[in-house]
Amino acid sequence: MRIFKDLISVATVAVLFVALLEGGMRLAGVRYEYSFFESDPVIYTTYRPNADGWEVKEGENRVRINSLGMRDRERTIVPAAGTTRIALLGDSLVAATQVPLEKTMAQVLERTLNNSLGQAGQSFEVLNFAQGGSTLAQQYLMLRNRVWDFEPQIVMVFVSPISVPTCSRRLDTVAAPKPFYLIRDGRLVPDPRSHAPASASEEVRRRNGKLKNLMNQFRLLLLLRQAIGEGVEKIEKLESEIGAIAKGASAEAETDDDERYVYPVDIWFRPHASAEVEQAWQVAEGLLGRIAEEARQHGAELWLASIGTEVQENPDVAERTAYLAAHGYQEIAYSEGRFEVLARRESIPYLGMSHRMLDYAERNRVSVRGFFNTGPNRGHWNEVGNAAAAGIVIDELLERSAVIRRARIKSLQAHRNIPDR
Amino acid sequence: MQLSSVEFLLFVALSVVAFRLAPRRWRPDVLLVASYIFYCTWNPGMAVALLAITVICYYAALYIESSRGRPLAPRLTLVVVAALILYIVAFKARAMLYPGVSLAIPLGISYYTFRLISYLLDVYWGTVPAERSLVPFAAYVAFFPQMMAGPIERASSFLPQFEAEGNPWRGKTFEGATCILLGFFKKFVVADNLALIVDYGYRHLDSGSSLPNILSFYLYPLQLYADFSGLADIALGIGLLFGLKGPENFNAPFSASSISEYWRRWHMTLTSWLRDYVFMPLRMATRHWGTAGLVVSVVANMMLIALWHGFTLGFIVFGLVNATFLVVDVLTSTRRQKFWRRHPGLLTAGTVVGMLATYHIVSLSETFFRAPSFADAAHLLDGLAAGFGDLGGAFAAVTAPPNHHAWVALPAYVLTEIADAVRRKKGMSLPAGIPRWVQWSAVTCVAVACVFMSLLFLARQTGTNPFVYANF
Repeated sequence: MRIFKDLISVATVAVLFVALLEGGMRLAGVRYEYSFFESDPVIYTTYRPNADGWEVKEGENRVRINSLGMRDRERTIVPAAGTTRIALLGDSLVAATQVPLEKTMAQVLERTLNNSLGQAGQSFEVLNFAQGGSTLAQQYLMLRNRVWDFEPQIVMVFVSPISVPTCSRRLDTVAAPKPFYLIRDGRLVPDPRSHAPASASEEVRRRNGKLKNLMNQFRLLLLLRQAIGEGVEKIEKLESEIGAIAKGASAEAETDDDERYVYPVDIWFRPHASAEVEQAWQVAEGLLGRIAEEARQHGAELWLASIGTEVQENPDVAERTAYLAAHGYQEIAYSEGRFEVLARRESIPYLGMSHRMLDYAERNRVSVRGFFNTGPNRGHWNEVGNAAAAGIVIDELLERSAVIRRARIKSLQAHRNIPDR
Repeated sequence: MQLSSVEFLLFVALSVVAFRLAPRRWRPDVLLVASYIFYCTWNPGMAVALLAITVICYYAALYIESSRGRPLAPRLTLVVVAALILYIVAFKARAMLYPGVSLAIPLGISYYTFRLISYLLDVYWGTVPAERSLVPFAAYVAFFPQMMAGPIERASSFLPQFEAEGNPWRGKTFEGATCILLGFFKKFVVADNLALIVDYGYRHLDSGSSLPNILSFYLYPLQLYADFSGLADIALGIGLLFGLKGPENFNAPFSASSISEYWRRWHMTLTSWLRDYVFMPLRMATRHWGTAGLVVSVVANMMLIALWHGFTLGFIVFGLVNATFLVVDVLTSTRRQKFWRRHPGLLTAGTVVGMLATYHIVSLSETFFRAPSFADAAHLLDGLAAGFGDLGGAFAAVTAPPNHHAWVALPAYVLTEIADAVRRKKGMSLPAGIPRWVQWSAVTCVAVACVFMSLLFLARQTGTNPFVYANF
């Protein structure tokens, strides 16, 4: 009986102590990566509806995923009458979880369009379907399976330096499950080795979502999750090092070679003789072709925009030049040129953003990337970068988009009180 | 091997288990192997140098002892001690002569050379017998927890612990784990957060407001103390896990009401070492000079403390500032004591004023210790009187990211002071006679905290600030 009482006392103290640690972590502002994703039987990984947490790796920002699984404000699936919808597809640069929602490119774009062209009976909605780590294959599946339900008139696909390597199972460095495609006999086909996660019932999804949201509320659980992830990574690295030593090879040399081979910036900047990289490019082009075909079928205007690397947008000339010289990059517009050729072939407007972003950064002497915990010109777009990107996109849409031109005429007519014929 | 890594924690755990499971006579061997493994992970070449120096000093000590009374003994002592001094000076001077070049300085050189010098002098003076067995001696010199930041433990207190009877493992494990936890708390919660604010101040010396300068000026001593004492606590704690109790290195230094008292409470193993092997012999040699002899001894002692850190202008000015105030303190000591005897009612107020004045002297001297250059230190001091200008704006800037959470360091610092006060008064071990559930609760909390600490190390993706005193 005495032991039983002792055990209860010890357990109570332990629980209180754990609560104290949790409180201490909150007080000290310690945060770890939050969970925003869930498995999806079609897109493999998607934002979890109503996920709520903090982005802490770059900046420090509260992130809420809407009930439809988008990094966006709440939307209705069916648009209101007179609403022009623009759907954005892309990866973390467009999802922009590093900045507050109202400062994301999508939201700034929507606000500006409504302020300049909006009127009674005409409004704009910029729907953000972008997701952190999203590959071109996932963007294609997202478009085919979800985006059309929202009836967008314009679809903008933003490619970035990870877009090409993530089209190849071998070049992809992130372990998260994702779909892959292959080119077989000149045709784009799903990679038979890709296995989508099993479909879960709505009840199971809801329960898992609640559990993950609950986990997001406790710093200790987030710490545990991250520690396990990092621990597994360390063990795997150790295993590969031991394996390399056992084989008599230098682990370091092997790693270096791999890194050089898959380095996204390298693939982005210059053509590769490697068959693996060329195949990845072909898959990327095939997927973009499929996206263009989808857009044509649904009568939507498709845009292709390319976002460059951080060095391309770095306004510090010395730093930029030193980086390019150190890596031996002479011509850095290889990927953008190739995407532009593809866009011309598919008859879709192309928007290369990197030089415009650099121009903005240099003109205003600002860093469009970087946060207090990354240093300037590192990582994703900050608030300035998102605003700049929105400005660039708006300029191009106003100038070249047929849908926007029509809306503009409508707006002008309304201003001049000319009855619409 | 980084101190704040899971690898290091695992290494410590494995070493302790091996040490505890080994028969008593093999324990020094286990400790020696563990220490050299640790040293080799840092630099195998320097481990060979350490071994060579250890072996030379071991045989030199035996020879000095056996030839005591003959002219050879003082000569040999002088030669070996001079060689050790040259060894440390060569490395420290190299770093000064080639500031831009990354040169490997043996880990813990300042600590192990001082341990060896004191051992040789003690053997020569006959205050300790020369150690007969090489392995325990080598384990003493290379004892890995004390390699990073001391303390500078004397052989006379370390070596007999190998022979001590009994196995106070349980009590010392609890005490050791608590010390380690307190040390990491001081480092990561207090020192690293304060470093953010101090660094901000040094980056914004020209902000037009005195606020960043004031914060850097007043917070750096707290940062340095938390950093250094944290490292000392970790070393002490790991030693306790092996059942080896090391000396305390700090005794509430900021409660000192004079600068000489401060130096009796700060880095105590270094100051007591210098007192025994430099100040006292020097004082004896200059006793016929009267006050001038005292001044020379004080200044020489203080300058040695400063130069022990490195041969830079900043450290020299740090030494000179301290030496100046120490001389004033020593020369006015008698008069002040008489004054307090005549006015006992003012003693409390005088003590408080003394504490504040001492803190200011420490802050002033440590500005030269911390500043990247003499010009930066002068710039910071100059900016203290620049005025506050837009105080709201300056305050908003200093509390903006990445400093927004850093202020937790201040209440955390108070907690560490309380913990240290309890430790000084009652120790960190569990008092006898407390109920069993309290004992087990305490053990459970420490165990949970250890797991928590390991998770923190594992989850950390970016590196941490190195310990300041690990550079010496």
